[in-house]
Amino acid sequence: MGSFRQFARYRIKLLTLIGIAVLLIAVFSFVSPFFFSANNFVNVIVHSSILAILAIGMTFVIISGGLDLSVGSIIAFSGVLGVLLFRQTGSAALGLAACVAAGCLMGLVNGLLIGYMGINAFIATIATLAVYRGATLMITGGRTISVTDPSFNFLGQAQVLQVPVIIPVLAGLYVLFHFVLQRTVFGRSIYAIGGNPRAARVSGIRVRFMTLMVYALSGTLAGICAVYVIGRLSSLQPWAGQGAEFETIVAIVLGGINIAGGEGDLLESLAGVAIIAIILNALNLIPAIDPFYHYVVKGAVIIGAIAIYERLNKVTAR
Amino acid sequence: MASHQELQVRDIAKSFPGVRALEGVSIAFKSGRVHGLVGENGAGKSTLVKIIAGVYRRDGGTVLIDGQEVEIHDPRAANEAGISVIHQEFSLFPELNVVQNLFIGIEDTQLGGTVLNKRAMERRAREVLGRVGLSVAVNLPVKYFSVAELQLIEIAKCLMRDAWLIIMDEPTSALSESEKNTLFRIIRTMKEEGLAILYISHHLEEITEIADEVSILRDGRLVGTYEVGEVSQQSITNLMVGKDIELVFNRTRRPLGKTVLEVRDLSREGRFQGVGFALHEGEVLGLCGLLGFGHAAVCEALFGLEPYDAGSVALDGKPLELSGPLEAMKQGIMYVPEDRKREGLIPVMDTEENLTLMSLHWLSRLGWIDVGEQSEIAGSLIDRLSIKVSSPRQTVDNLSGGNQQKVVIGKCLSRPPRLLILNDPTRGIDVGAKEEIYRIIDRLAGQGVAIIMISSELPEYIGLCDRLLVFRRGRVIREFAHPEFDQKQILASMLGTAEATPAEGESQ
Repeated sequence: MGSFRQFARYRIKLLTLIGIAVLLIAVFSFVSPFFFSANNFVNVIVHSSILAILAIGMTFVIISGGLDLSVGSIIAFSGVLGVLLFRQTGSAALGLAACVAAGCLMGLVNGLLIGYMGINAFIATIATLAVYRGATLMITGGRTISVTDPSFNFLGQAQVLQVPVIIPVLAGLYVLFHFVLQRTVFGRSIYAIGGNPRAARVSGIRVRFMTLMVYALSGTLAGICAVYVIGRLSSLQPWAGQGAEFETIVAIVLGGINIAGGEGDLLESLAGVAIIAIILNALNLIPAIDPFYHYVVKGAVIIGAIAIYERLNKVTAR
Repeated sequence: MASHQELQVRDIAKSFPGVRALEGVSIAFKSGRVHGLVGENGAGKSTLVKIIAGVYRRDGGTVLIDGQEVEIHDPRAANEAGISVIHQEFSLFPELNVVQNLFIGIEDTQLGGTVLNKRAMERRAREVLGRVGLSVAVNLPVKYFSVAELQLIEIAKCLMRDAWLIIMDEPTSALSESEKNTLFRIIRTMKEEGLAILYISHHLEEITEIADEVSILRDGRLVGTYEVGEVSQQSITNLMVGKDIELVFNRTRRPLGKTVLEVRDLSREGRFQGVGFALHEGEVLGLCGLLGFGHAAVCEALFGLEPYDAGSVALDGKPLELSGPLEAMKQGIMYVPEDRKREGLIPVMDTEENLTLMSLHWLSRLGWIDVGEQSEIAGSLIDRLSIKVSSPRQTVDNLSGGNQQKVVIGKCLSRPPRLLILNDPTRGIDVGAKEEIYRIIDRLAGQGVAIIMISSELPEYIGLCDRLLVFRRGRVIREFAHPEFDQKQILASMLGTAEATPAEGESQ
């Protein structure tokens, strides 16, 4: 009985999401002749890969009962630092490593504020959102920096067997972090902390340290996004990643993950990301819809999703 | 005074998936009477209350007020019908003051509903608070009040809404003896004013003290309704359980082994002072005292949850640095917290994950959990403690109180403990589950585990412990040893009414 209820509670959500995705694909294929093609699907994935990568980190953060609003700013700031080091040293490898390391460091700062100083995650990361973005603007003077080195731009531009290299990278990240979340002490601790932080502490879980690691992970993944963003555009804009945190949270909520923490997994996040990506892509393909409507659509999607999940929860709970 | 005479439920039935929570329950609650409702956990008490209060829809049966059939679809309808529930968790807003809380949703306004009539509301508030015998600053946020005062404010809130049937769920669980007496005085006054009180409690002595009649539920059915004068506490217990039993402790006394734990002069500013004791293999040591007397704080310090300023702790002769729970666990010290919901369980996790939460460090390699070993450990704990689950994957939120408590204890047994600290391990669970836990404690002691125990019930100390340390204001003031336990003397030294004769003459 219990296992059935659990199945209903967790997997019906996922099945519903997949159903919605299929339905959307069917509808959009009918509406737009350009939609249903291998080319366009590759396009969808490439365009949503930043969202997909950030969603991994944000899923960890949200399951732990937190929130990370600074990821968009981390993309820009870690990108700038990486590019600067690359220009100084001429070493693409060093520059790329610096992007990722800087992202990790900024995440650690978030983690220290939240885990060790006890500042509310929303407040802490909204503050670092401003600080990281401001630092980026100061350093760049608000100007776009161009990067033409092909090895620096590898992640954003290279293809293997005519498939953009980001696609296998994404797949790899999702598989890896799915297992990290489900099969490691780190992952289990995150669920425990999000589910009941006090009980987690009494059970010997190092709550502060694990919290620190969650934000470090989120920052590191944002650093990887920086590498990808620079590569794709052969440049770094100081406003890169702006609003990315909003889109990521939309996707995760759409995936049915409880914003209060303790529940959810990467499959649900991925489903949420896919649906958002499909909707945005279709909106772009349908010329009659003004791009200014896109924000409204995203907001409406959140509200619609929450309304549906409240219903589902009432049906499956007790 | 009361607007109605009687609320009657007839043939009430309610099922949840897989469980028949109530069946054919018929009870009448009359004004001017205190009606006790008792039953083991899971007997259907809270389901019945939730149906009366409009939280659950019943599957069958009728609810009548003064003989008129009524439909109570939601809590609001219950309020309008004059039914108020005071839950264990209060419904007050901590940041709002007393007046604001009392008038929440029924504010008194003037000038066409635009301006609050503050002065009139304050006057009304004082009047109603006077009825419950409370004179407090009505403009103070309620977060500054004690639990007992909050309780009275809750009652005042019910009176304010012209409730004539007030349902109280375990109202004394956080009250001291004198606060309880105050509450009982208020209940008697309300009764005289013609209100009907439905009083739910696990404490039968409270029922026999305050209630006029008592209804006993067992497995979702009504065993019967009795005048309180007609039944003894013992027979109520028997009717609740359905068989003639008395709490059986089944403790096998064995010779003690070598010293496991040595605590010397342990102190923490404002919590405990100069606490020292030794604990041996197979020994069950009780620490008792009134709330806040330091015995619970000592337990938390021994598990590394709270720091201590001075003193030393040695396990098997080795001095310990207790910097945190994980470090304590690595030394074989395990801790069952007092409040399973708050500190013991991760409600959204399943049974298996909860059971293995304290052994993650040991069943992982390089951070990766050995899932096979995890199910093995969980499976064997479920067997050993006979935890009733439909599958190890069942979320603990859906388990009964007794089974949840077994999960919390099971967590601590996922690896053989050297020292087990049990902080009120049988709180809020039914008689059957309690006895199972007593057997587990005895078995562990037999295996040589050293056990420290806190309980909220004196008979448990007497039935289970080999020795008992009585705490008073942060100090150990008296020690009792097994055959010489005397309930009256223990109680007296706890309350400070007896001449404290220091144990073993080692007082300073």
